[in-house]
Amino acid sequence: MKRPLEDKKVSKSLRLAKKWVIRILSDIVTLSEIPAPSDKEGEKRRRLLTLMKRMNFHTLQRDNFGNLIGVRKGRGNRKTIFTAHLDTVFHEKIDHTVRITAERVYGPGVGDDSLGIASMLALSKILDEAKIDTDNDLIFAATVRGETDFYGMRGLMETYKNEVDYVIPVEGHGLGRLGFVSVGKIRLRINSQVKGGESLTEFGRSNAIVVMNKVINQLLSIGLPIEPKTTLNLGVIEGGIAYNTVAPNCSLGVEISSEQREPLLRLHHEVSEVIYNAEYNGVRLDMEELSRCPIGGIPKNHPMVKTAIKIHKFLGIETSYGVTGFEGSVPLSMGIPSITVGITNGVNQHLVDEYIEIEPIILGLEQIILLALSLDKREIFI
Amino acid sequence: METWYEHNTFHHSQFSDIERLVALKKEQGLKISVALPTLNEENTIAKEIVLIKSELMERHKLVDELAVIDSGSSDDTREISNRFKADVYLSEEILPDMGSYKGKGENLWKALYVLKGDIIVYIDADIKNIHPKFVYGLVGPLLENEEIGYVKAFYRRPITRGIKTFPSGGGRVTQILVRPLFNAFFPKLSGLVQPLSGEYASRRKILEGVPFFIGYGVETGLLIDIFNKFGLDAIAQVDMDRRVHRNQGILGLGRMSYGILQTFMNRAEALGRLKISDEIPVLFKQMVEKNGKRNFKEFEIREVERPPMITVDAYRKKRGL
Repeated sequence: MKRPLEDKKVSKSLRLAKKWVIRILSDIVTLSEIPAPSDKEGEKRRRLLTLMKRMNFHTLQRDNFGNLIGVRKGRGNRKTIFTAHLDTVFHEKIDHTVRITAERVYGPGVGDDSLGIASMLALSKILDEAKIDTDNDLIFAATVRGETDFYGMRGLMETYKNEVDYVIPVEGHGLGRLGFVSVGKIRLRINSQVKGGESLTEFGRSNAIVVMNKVINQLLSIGLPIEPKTTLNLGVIEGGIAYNTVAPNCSLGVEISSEQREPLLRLHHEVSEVIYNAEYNGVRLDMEELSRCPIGGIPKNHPMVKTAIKIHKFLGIETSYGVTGFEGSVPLSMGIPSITVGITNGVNQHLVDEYIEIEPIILGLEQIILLALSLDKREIFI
Repeated sequence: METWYEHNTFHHSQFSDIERLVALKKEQGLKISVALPTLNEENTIAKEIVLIKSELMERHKLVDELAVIDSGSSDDTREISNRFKADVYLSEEILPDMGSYKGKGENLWKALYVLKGDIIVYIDADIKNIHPKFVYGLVGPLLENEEIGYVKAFYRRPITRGIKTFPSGGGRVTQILVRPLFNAFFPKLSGLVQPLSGEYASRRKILEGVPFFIGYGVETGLLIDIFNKFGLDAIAQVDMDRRVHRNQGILGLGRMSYGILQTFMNRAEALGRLKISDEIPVLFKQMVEKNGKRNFKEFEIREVERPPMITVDAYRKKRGL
């Protein structure tokens, strides 16, 4: 078995990674400056399609779920799938202008996940330039709704579940992360609705915000186990219509999570008890489930994980083991080996002043090149 | 003028098939150079270099050379430009025997000496929404039409007031000073939407044959001189849709206007369109109000004129003329 640098083609591909950074930065600008909140990915997908058309994919298509999929044909029939999501958490009206300084790239969505998409494209082009063929088909999928209900990823897995060996979601942020365990998550929206009315004449009437305040106090009094880690987050709140009106509505977005199934279900039950059983001045509440992210994972001694760890050691990347992103939980819950990887270091993910560092992108790219090739050999390459 | 407008006004999207432009460039045996004149542009320069290099030098081989011509920035402009692998020149080190002036026009003139291309593209370095269209949109008309020699960009310019951005309102000097002047003295040039735009492409043989004013007057001077020497049909303009950049304060615009006015008067007189009995003073007095007190502040604004590059010995020697 050769070490990577002894293989001429592989060492060429690693040299190309350095050269490719400027092209990645340019793709980040092109992609990030097109607003693409979840479920409104169309324009960004069209722009990506023009970029991907210039590449040598065997097939390039938009699937029934809205994902854009480029296939780099291998010698066999099995698949290795790389994914990155098209959508962002940002509203289309905010300023999406990207700024580049000597060391960083600033802008909403630059790392999450424009860099992921740009890195996938770079990987494919670099393998072409280094004239490297693979056994597995390499599938590059830009997915939709990766920030909400991972509809695109679910569809993708439905399509390929019988042919796929590995799934590698590529995230811009978190160089060194290896996410191969998915935490169970349930997202809930709690709504309170009352009659409302003018604030002076109807003073004293039930107020939806006050009711929600009581709910919040009760939710916060629920005891949570430290081990396995189990959380309850109050993430979003909306309500009321005017200063001089008794608030007629209020909604609260809650996400609960746990590393294990039992505590997650128990917590879900306790939240439901708070919502459905309590009486708040005669006001009833309702709760809807927005999404559910299943628990799954592969063990640390899984060959895929071991390969990734060796690659990190070889490149001098410090590995951090963590839970996978939302998207990675889909293949894991179906028993398909998957590791979520990061490409560089970044800060302020999901905030408008998000930024990523330029220099580590080279390492992040080398990492996915070696991962693609090592997994393809079905044996540890390094 | 209307006929000219009809024939010589384009939209950048007409040239978005970049590979077709690359083929035309090869067929005509031309080289294309892009110059970015800079003075303290560390916030915008990296993105301009990255996009032009990646899209127009690597993905498509449209541009052969990308140079930053710097007036001595005190920020990291030159360091960043080096890092992203543009060719970086300090303006004062180019043709040192000819002396050195501070000003964008000076950088553009000196760029002619160091650049190798047959087509030169100048792009201001303060564009926040830089896009490859600013380059391919400008060279497109030159590659497609032999008779066109000088192409200017125009656009809608959003203006920022506090945290709000308004769709237009930029280009105040253009609307209040320059367009009325052109209308009065060079009416044939009144079809140019943005005579002051800082993005233009030209054949070398045109640029080397005209003088350059060193400061704010450079665009006005070039336009009048090229019109006078090569005719209106050699000039074209391209709609770039939208350009976002930082807007200057009103006092800065006042000084800019004074430089433009000097250049304009100078040219209008030389071409017999206007008689001026006295020299226009180089000292510009601005009233500045601070803490309720009014003061006059004097600025020296001297639009020095650099000779046509073709007349410079070192240039002729370098290019074997």
